[in-house]
Amino acid sequence: MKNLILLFFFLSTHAFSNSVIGKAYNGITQATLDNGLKIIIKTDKRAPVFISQLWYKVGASDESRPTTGVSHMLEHMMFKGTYAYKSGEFSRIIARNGGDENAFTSKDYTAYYQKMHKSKLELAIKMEADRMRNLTFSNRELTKERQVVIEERRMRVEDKPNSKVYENLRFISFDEKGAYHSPVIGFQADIESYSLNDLRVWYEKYYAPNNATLVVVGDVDPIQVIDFAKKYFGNYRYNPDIKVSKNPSITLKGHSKILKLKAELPFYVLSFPVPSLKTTTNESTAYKLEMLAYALDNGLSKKLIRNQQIASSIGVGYRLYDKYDTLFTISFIPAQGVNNDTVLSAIKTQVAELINKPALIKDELIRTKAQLEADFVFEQDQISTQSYYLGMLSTVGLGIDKMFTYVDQMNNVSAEDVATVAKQYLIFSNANSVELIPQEIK
Amino acid sequence: MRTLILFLLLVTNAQAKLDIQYWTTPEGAKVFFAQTKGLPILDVALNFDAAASRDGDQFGLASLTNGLLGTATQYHNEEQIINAFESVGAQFSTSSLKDMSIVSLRTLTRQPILKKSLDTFTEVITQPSFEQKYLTRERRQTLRSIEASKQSPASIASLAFDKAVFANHPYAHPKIGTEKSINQISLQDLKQHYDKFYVAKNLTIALVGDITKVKAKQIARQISHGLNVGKKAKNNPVITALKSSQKIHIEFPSKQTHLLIGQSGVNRSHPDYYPLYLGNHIFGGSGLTSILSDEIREKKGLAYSAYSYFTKMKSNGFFMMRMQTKNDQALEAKNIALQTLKNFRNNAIDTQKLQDGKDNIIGGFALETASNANILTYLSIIGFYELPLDYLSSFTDKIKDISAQDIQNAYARLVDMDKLIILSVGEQK
Repeated sequence: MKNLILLFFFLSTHAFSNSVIGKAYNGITQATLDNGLKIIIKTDKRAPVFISQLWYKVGASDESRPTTGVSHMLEHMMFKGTYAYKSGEFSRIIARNGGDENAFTSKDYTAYYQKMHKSKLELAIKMEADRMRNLTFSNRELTKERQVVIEERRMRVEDKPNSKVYENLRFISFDEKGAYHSPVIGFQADIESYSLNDLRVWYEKYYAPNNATLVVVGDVDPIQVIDFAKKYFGNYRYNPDIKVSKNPSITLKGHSKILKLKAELPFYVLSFPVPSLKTTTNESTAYKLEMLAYALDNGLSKKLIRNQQIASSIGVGYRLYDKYDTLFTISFIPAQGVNNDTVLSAIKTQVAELINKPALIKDELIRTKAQLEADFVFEQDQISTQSYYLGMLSTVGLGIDKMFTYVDQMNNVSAEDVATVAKQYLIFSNANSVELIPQEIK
Repeated sequence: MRTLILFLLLVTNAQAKLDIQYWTTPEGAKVFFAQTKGLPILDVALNFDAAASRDGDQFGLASLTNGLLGTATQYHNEEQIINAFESVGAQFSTSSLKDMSIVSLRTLTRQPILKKSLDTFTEVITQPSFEQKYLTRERRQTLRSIEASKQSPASIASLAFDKAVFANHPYAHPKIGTEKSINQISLQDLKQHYDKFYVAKNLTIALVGDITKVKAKQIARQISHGLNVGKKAKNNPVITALKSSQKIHIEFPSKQTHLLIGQSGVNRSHPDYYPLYLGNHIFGGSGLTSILSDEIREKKGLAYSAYSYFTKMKSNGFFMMRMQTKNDQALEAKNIALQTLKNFRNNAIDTQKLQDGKDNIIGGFALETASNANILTYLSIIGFYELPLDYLSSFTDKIKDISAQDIQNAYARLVDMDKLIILSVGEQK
């Protein structure tokens, strides 16, 4: 136990206004190994299963040309063999033991997971630990996997008009010198050109215990999780060369782009540069923006889709948990025969109303708060959702407390607060926009 | 260390074996209930045999009818209904497939929340008011969805495959309808569809959550009581097997060609169901470790996803292999997929693969019922498809004794290499 720092939370449920939230928090144990590996365990004994996730602090926001997408490519290569297990063996062993496994890469993180029966806890931790340090890089495997990733890009982006709209929105909303400009999957030219060495360098640079968080949620004994983590990760060296990566996004404003693509439906997206919870100077601003997204989504759906029927879909988004400055987005598909300007001007009217008459959304805000509180409870139903929030919040540097203070923070936001951030950030002359103009197919 | 042990005592152990309760309401609705503890949540799913296969020649009718539930009742308008659910944080949703039209509710079990959300839910289901303004709006929304499906090579391929494999069967048409059919559906049609199919005898209620059986009985009774008794819908016909192979290509300006290869299949009551289930799990149903994915993706790098499945519908559905690859590799992928299926059909499965497949299903079975949402789905399936109550508890027993020969026999009986639909959507010219 000497090289283990145990950090237990004995916060009483009184720290939270909601007893379910207090209860959810009570099931959590945190520890850090002396090589820097963070461990977060949440016991949930409703079923004899667990999910184990290993999160690395590396993602597309750490990349630059000509190796965009290298985090994602490395994620694929993590299934291609170590000194102990040949290519594909990882998946086969986990499957043979009843496991469900996969991985995901995003802007600010790369994560791997196994969902299994509780009797398989040691196996999951042992195998995940093995590939943190012992990956064998094979050119033969890279050649094939590169093709797989290019097919993935074709499927996810190239053949989906709306994905291309979002890709282009990031090009014009974020400067290419900073984070969030490039696609998570990478530019095709970059995917085509990674060398084995690029992947190895990335692996050596970011895959170390002090750059990772192990999250386990389920019917497990926290002491046992920590013991297994110690046994299998404990011998890895702390890597002093890992620095907190600093490649902040640089948001841009006032850019617009028209995309002519073979498609049936028009699509229009607006983006406004905003801080995230991590970058804001005053945390309440981020929660106000989050509430603004809910209020605007509800308001626009009601007015533009249900009542005026000038739009067939509306989406309002805010990336509360992004590591760097981010975007507040409003997207829509106009109803048939309605032009984009009609919808745009209705959106502006709605935003102006929200700014000038916040009292109008008071009742709606009460309902939204009731929904958020219920949603928190509903989210406890899936162990994967619980582990996602714990791992993501820890990895982007916000800390897991944010998961449990969310409902209270949102309850503190008033209609006037929503109006204030709308006025401050939803400045249409500063917005970026991408407009998809469909070109006839065939 | 002592502090840690004290700490663990605070964690309640709510785990228990899944106990499925079954009864019928006085009006004839089947009810399946499982009490789960640990979270103050109730999930309700109403599964009516009222979906697209009941459209007749009015394609899209079932989907529109189900989608209009929640727009108006005899006492409340749309905004009032939305507000009623939102004010207690309840989630109300509708979805309509080919067999099942589903209306569902997720709510907290705390009073007065539970009462308010259930009362609103009951009213929406049992006393709907179909109004022209909502039909007109939802019809326009559906036409937009039809357009959306035309810009997706994956959707185009799925719809074309259904049409080919189901031919004249009620499963053949797109569930959201076509431009022509949607425009001909009237308010009267919706009312008739509702009156005929949204009846107690045509309903399976699934309830999962932290409530007692007494409470579950009350809730089921409340919902069922407001419905007409009605009649259970007649079974749809069996899907006839193809007489010969069909090659279909749809030209589309995409970077990838989507390949769908398959033929008519089985339902859950077919005597070969379990060997086929296990066989397909090994062949193409278990992600990266399956044979098809190994041949197409791992060995050749031809596709990001390559998988196969048997649909599990009321009538025998279909078997399908599916993948997508850049246009000039489509022929190679097709040939490998066909050869892989042929090898699997004609040769006994490797003993290790057979054991691995069984171990994956059996060892991971606890994951299938690890959340209320998963249990709800299983209860709905057991009730709607008239499966035995021990369907879940006996599942792994049915898998463990299947031999390589059983699988090969089942494939020999059910998979005919000379009667495959081979469908492609992409740019081949």
